[in-house]
Amino acid sequence: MEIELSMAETEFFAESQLITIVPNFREDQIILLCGQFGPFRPSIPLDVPLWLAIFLKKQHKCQIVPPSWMDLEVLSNKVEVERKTEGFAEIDFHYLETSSMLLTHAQEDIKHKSVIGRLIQDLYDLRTAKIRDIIKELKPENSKLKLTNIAAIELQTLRRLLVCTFDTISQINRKEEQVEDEKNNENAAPQ
Amino acid sequence: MGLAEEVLELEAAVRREKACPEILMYESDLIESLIGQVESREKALRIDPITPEEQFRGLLYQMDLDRVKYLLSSYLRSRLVKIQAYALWVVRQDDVNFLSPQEIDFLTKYYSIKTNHFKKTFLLGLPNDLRSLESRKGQRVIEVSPQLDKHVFIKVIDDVGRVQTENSADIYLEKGDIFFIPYNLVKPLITEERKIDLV
Repeated sequence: MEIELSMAETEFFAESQLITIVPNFREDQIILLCGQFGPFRPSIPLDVPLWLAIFLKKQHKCQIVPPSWMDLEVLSNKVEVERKTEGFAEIDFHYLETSSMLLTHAQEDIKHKSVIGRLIQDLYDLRTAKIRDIIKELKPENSKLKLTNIAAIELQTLRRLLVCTFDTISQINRKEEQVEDEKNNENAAPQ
Repeated sequence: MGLAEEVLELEAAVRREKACPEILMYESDLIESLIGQVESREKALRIDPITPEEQFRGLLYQMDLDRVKYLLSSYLRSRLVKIQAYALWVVRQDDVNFLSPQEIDFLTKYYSIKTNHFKKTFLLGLPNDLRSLESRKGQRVIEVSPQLDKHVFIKVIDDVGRVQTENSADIYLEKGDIFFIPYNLVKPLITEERKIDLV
């Protein structure tokens, strides 16, 4: 059985991040295991977990305020920075999951949604190219990689490849040592 | 720790357990507290809602509950998978305080079923000196043990500074950094000092 984190689970973790909504209904405070939210009053913004925001959205009970990094200007700057920096530029750890969920379920709340979608894609492409470069530069003797600012989904795409590769290398090394040891033992044993 | 922090801590525990090559210390306080909360809430939710408002609130409670239940079972199941994989090894450990009483119970039963099955299907057909499931000195180790040099992805929660490595350049771990690194290089920073988390 596989226990490795899946893409769906990565999305699950993204859903517990907080996001601002503007409700259009009235409801008292609600005490959930993951926190206390509300009271909900029409037109008064408040923060709730993303899963709750999307549920309310589906019921047409709120408007979702996209996170600040999903703003047109901020995002185009981000793409430029990403193009210029060598490592990964700083971005929300769950930027892909969050933006894809919002672009699917809260389209009408996102201004310039098609441009935003394209910019996210650009950003992802630039970052994936960097990941490909990292893979190309991999060497078996250098088994430590700095990946600061890599996002959750990008890490997922690397996980299996990197973990399998390096574990196989150390397995081969161990086998070699074992064979060496056995040889030495045989030689040491009296004939 | 407040309830909301406990849920966050459980999320981190699930990620940690899934990525970690060894079986980590059972988060007994955290898990028992959350199981208690989930059970009392489930009881409260059994009352049928009457008004649409109650129905709406009930739905929210249920979704929140389902998420925490998923995390709990995911945590426990990840551990069971590892206990099964390393059963022969865990049984031979002097100290199994990293397991919960229920997990020890599971391990004992699993071990006896597995060894009985091995005996019935092939061990009794082998020459006498090959029958033992225990590895003896000088022989190849037959049990699967956790590979502590397995590579993991880490996220630095608190500044650590320089970490020495055996055969290559030292690394510097600053808050927020993400590294791909052999587990045993940073193990105490994860399990004891909690300055690093697995992602």
